[in-house]
Amino acid sequence: MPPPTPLSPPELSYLYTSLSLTPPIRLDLRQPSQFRPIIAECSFLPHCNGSSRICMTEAGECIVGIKAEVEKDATTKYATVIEREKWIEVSVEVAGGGVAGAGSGSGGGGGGVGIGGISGAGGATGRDEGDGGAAVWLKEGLLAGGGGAGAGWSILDRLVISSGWHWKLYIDVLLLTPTSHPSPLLLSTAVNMALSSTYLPKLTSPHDIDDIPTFSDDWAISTPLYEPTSFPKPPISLPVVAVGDNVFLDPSVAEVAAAEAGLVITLSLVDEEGSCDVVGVRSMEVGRAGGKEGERKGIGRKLLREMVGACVKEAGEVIKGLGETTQKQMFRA
Amino acid sequence: MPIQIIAPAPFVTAADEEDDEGGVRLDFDNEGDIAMDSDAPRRAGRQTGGIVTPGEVVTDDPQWMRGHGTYLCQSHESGSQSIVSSLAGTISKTNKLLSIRALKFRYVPEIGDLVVGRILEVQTKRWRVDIAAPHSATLLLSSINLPGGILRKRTSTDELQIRTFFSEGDLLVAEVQTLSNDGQASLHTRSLKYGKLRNGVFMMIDAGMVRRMKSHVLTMNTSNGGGEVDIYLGVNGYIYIAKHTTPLTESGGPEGKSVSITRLEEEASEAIYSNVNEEISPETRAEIARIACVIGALAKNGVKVDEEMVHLGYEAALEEFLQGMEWGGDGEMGRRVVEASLVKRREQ
Amino acid sequence: MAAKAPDRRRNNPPSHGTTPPVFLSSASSGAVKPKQSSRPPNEIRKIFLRTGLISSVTGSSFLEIAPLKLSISVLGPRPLPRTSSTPFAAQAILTTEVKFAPFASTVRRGYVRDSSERDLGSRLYQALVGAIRRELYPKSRIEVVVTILDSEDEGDDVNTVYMEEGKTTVETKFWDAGRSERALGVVLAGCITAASAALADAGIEMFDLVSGGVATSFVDEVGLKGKGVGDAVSNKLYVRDPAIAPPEGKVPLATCVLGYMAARDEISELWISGKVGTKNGTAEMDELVDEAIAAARSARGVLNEAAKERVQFIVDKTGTTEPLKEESTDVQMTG
Repeated sequence: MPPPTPLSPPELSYLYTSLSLTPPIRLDLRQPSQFRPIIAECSFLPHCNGSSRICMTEAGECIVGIKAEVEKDATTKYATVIEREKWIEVSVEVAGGGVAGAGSGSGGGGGGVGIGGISGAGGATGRDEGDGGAAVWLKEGLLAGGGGAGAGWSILDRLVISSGWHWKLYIDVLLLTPTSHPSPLLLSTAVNMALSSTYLPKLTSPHDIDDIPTFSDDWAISTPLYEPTSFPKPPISLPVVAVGDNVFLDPSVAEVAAAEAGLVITLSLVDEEGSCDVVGVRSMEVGRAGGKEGERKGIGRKLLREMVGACVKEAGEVIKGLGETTQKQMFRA
Repeated sequence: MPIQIIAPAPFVTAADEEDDEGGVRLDFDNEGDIAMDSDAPRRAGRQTGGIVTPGEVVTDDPQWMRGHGTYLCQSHESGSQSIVSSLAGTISKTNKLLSIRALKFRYVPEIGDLVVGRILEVQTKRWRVDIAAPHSATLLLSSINLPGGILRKRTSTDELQIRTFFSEGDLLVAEVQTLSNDGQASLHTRSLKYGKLRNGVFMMIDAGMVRRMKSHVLTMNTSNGGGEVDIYLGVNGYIYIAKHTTPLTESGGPEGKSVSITRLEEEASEAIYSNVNEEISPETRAEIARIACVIGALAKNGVKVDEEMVHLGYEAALEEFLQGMEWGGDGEMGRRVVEASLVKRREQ
Repeated sequence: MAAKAPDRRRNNPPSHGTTPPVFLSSASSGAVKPKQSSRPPNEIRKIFLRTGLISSVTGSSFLEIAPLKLSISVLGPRPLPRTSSTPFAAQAILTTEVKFAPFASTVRRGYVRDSSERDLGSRLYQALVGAIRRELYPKSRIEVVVTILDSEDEGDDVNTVYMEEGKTTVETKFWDAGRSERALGVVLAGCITAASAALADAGIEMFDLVSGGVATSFVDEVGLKGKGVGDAVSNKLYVRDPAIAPPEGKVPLATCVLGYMAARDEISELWISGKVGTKNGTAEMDELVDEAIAAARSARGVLNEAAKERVQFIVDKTGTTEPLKEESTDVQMTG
């Protein structure tokens, strides 16, 4: 896969200066913490337990289908953490083999350096995944979301059917826009909405027997995977970059190329006021990290606080917005 | 609300949007000759605004010549020749030449086009340039202005230093000089109008959204203390918006500066291929961003970008949010600006 | 994907893996408790770090932290292959590769890198890429290859096993979801520290050495049942360089792994997994990050020594006294 053509030095320097001004000037005149509008739709695939479609201006379009299958515990009572983590399978498939239209493409390929991908997948040898390792962090956020170990709530609990049986959740993410580095925001909003719209059939056999479980075929009484009225909600991962002392949410491809530091922060909504818990932080590869002398090479502690703080402030609204959109569309159907 | 979540819009057919001026302008004249033969059902498409699909008979009137996007087909029964469309698009006619213009297409270079491009690859004596065309264009070392004067001879030193002129990722504005048989363009920058681009931002829109004009380099006077801004509207849909710079005179350095004749050339070379931006004020940066948003919104809403629309759109954007910096460039705000600018155009 | 392609070069084990036998000590009727570490929570395990053990590569290092053993080779800088498909690179291209040896964990691993290994590789890349002065090595490639020979493994002590009246009951530790993060975190931190040493050994210019640090926050187990999470949070225990087994009566809350450049006070790579509540700002996260930085600082001491040791060794062996000479000329010039 040929790497995308880099931005030219004057372009990068122009961007960098614009973004490090006070107040900063983003190329699309957004506020630092303003997101670009997204088009969202959910629960439109009849064969799936939950589904969603998200469209973004720059990152493109992606469809998520969630299917649940009944599975016998591989090691019955010996189900370990490792075994249980296999109950959720996330895969990210890039349409068109994941080759960015970089050759002579106008389809967004001419854009910039390796973008949006998490943690320098561009540097790992034998980079044979098309998704830049996205499946790994999506699943990680999902397992940690809702508090992970400490909060006593795990999505895995919801997947237990009866002793010896569980749901196996297949989360298939299909990126319709070919890119080597999918936007974390696109993938995580899509997975978030799909999960909020996921319903599992109601169990009709008793909980405590080892026989094959039976289910009601009435979807009206099916149980939601995430209760719409209670917390936690499915987590969301927000990309955030820093240029100078300024922090930007939902960075565009060019902004990532000009940024000095980048993080993807996974958050989970914990109450109705919109408070969020940080459940995961990961570094994101940005264009200028490790550039010339005298530039920032990493994230200072103060900057880290600011970056996480900016996400925490806005994430509640984003998750609530997504949840409301999901509910509206679910009940319309 | 930091994020705007939009439910997908229902599919809108052309009939629903008939009153919308914003759609792609159809140049086809319904009163024209070709609309006269109206018996065949396959030709029905033409009555609804001159849109044809591949395989549709455009006309069998022998007075027309076939142009781009059409082919000749001999009917088996009557033996008469008819012109058949090979594209989905609108009919356009120039004198007696019939051609079909596709609504969406990749840029096809033509000689004399002003294009904005990005260097993809550096080879021994040439560059490969992305100009959004099916084939990347080439720019020969001999087709650029070498530092040290136009009449200077190209040396092997220049070949070795090829990256000091243009390197991978660099943006340039150039003219299509020749076309090879397979449609590959060869560019040149042998004029001080052309060359490396800096002091601004790059954006791309669909190639079909830039209207062909007399001049594709606009200079705009911006408000809010932004000063003058240059807009390079590449015919290929690549656009560069930069702070206005005084064009270098033919002899080299900036006007009004007296330097010896040898120094002059040095200055010209440095200025042409420098990678360093000039000092650009925050006001100018804000206005450059605003213009970029306007152009993006116009293209997104299906309005062809030309000098008039950029001006009107910019005015509309200023009226909508005089000092506003809360514009995502797309979505609702963009729509409003485009609508306002279309209203302005109708008024004129 | 290549990962799923059959590996024809080797005789492979069953693709679905095998379950390791769990041996129970039949004599005891009580729980088989995982071993508790005796070190205080703010102390990291002893690190053994040596450089220059592999002579055929530019730089190498070997690191041992209790059960974790890994060896790192640095190849290059060497020229990029001259093919038409290779793009021009103004800066050195860094590649990192992390591979567990098939025998490095309880459950045998295959030869083809799996997703967690690829993920570790890209984290290592992120940790190192900023520290290397890549602009000094244009058109070249630097490869960092990590082989993990032994690791404290996810498969160990997974369940608590009880034996009663000839019947075996297993109390599964479902909620210890942070286990694999801790295991991977310790591995990643070790990789970062050792890779810095190997890069220094290879004579590659760097802005600063990067050392890896890992810390986990634990809360009381009792606090989890019911709604007493608030009490548990106030009772937080931070453990630097955590072992696989959690401290008695504690459950993990979040793990933080980072690559830290001590001289610049910058974090080059950050990975936090688990809840670091931020209802009251980012204080909880700060504490965890500070702990991980403290762990990284401790590792930095070892890293500095290891980097010096090798230089000292060569200086002693060859009898090079160049540094001293230079120093004396300096003195003369100033004096």
